[in-house]
Amino acid sequence: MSRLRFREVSLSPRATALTTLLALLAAIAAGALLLFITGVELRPAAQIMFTGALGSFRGLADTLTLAIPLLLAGLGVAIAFKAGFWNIGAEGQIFMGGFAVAWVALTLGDGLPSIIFVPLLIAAGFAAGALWGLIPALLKIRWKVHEVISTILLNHIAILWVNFVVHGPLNDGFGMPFSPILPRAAWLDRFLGTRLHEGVFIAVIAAIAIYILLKYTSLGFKLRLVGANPRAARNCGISPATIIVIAMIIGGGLAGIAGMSEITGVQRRLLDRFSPGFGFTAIGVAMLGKLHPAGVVVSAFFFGALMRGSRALQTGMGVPIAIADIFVAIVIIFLVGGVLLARYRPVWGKKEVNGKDV
Amino acid sequence: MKRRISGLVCACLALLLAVSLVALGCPPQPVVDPVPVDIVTVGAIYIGPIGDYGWSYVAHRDLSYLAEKYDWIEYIYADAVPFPEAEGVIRDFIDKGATVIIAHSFGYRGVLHMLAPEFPEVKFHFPGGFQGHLMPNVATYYWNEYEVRYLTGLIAGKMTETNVLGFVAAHPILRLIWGINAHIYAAQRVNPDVTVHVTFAGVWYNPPLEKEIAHSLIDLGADFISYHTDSPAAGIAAQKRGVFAFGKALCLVPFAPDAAVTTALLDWTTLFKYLIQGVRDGTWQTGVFDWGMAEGTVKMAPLGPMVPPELREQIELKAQQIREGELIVPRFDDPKW
Repeated sequence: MSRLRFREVSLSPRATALTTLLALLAAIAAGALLLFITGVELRPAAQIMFTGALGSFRGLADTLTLAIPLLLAGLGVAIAFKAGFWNIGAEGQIFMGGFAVAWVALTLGDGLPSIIFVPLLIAAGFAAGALWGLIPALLKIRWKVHEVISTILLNHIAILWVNFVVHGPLNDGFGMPFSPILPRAAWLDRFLGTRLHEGVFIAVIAAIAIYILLKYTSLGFKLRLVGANPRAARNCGISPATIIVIAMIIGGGLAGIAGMSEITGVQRRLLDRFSPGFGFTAIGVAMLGKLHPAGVVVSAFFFGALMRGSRALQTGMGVPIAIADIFVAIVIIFLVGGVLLARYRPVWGKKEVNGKDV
Repeated sequence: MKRRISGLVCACLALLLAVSLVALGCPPQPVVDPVPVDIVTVGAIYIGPIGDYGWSYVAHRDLSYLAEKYDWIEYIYADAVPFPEAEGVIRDFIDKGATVIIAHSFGYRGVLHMLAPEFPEVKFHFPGGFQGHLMPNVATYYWNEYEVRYLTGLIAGKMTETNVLGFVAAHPILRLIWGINAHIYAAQRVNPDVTVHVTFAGVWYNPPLEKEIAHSLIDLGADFISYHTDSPAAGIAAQKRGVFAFGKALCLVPFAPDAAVTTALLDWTTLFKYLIQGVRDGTWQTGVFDWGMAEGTVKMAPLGPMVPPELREQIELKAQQIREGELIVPRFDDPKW
């Protein structure tokens, strides 16, 4: 019986670039259609999104500010995906990182100089994120709990934990879900009257470090091998369990640092729901960047611009934020979907014996 | 009625003036504003969507009205701005030339304090603050809704059959507690057996959660539901369950026709006009602008038919006394409590 099937094919770099470009065009077309249907004038909308996100000094700085947590968490997701571990928990790791940083900073107070304080807080954010990432890894290794389920559920726990903490032990005493402002020495400094802060250096250094790790170290090789074929890895004497644990420590830790940079660079206090879904967007960032550190850098910047542009659409043109958010979602679906689905070629025919069927 | 009479008087006076001017031989002068028309750009941010039919909706309605009425007011806004994103949006508005920032939620306070020293020429406002929150260019405003909460407490205390009242609140901040306590205080004064269950949602705007809380309060036996959240969802839940409800900010009747007893109506036009006018004239000064029934910022909506005539008379009398300053509703932090 013949029917429609999808066969996985490997694409040449040129074909990959072409499909990405086509996906981008389709994304823009679909997004424009949505705006058109809802009665938004397209030319000024495009103009406002562009100036809002890239074409002005403050817009560009804001785009970069949004790209920092996206890049850090995106790298964290990418390294876990590389090891074949479907980490949907970056959001929770961000929240735990942010919580640990605020807790440490408020406990230590204003006594330490910035040069010691900030590295200490980076370590705290990393440790908390890593710990939160370690839980699903251990659950999977010990009891075969599927990581998609456990990481999603751990997100909720982390978000609600921060909610509890800012209402309770870390509350500033005014009844709103905020902690007091962190001591000055804990802040990441900002540049030139914009919101762009020193976290951008942390993010770029992290991207370079992950690139070196994956490309030039034996650990990076083992990681890729486990992701590609765990059975082959085991036959080579590599323990997939150990590699997954290491990948989740690094990946969770990076997301924790994303929370750290957001709290010390942008918010300067812990507050309820301080991340507007950076950890979830980071999955799209990692996918679109094809799990390659350089690709993640580019896609984090792109997603940052998209988030910033949609806000500009609202403030500049009065487009309801719901429409602006749907616009962003459509672009993400088309792009990530396009890039992923390009690997599958539709085939009309009988089941193949030797070919790979999906 | 009063309004119509004063309108009539005004019309008569205007006619008289016009006639006398013509009679005296003066050519009618076109009305020229002595102040050169500076454009004052007002940037407002809201925590909920402007379609929340409550807190954000009312402020947006009133600022839109002012912008339409006065050609020197330009109004830009962003709604559904979570606290972590507020700073970027406000900086956007200042870039666009906004000199008045109305950050319409208590939680934006910290962001304003961070921005204010950087932009001394911009006047920042947020609701629900106190003397200690003021800065040379940060003022705070609020509506004294606790005055109506006092009256709703009296109504509920008298009318309740189960002796249980429910209150859906958002965050445990002092301004909400003033209102909640006024309600409890009044209800227990007329009915010592009354119990009031208060539940905090932890968010300003989340209609499904607000509704859920209202249902659980009704399950506890509450036959009167008050709410201080941003949407009328709790009132709608009361309608569904056949109990009574007191509205907040926007008249509850269209949403819950059988349940709505009365509403603490909110009208920002006078207060916001005063603040924006101050910036235009250069007379703006920081302060705590708490306006209530006396200033017309807070009104009590007409009582529903479920209120018995005798009680209705008492309540309307008390409302008038509050308006005229004869009856002062105590605040939670007053020593009177």
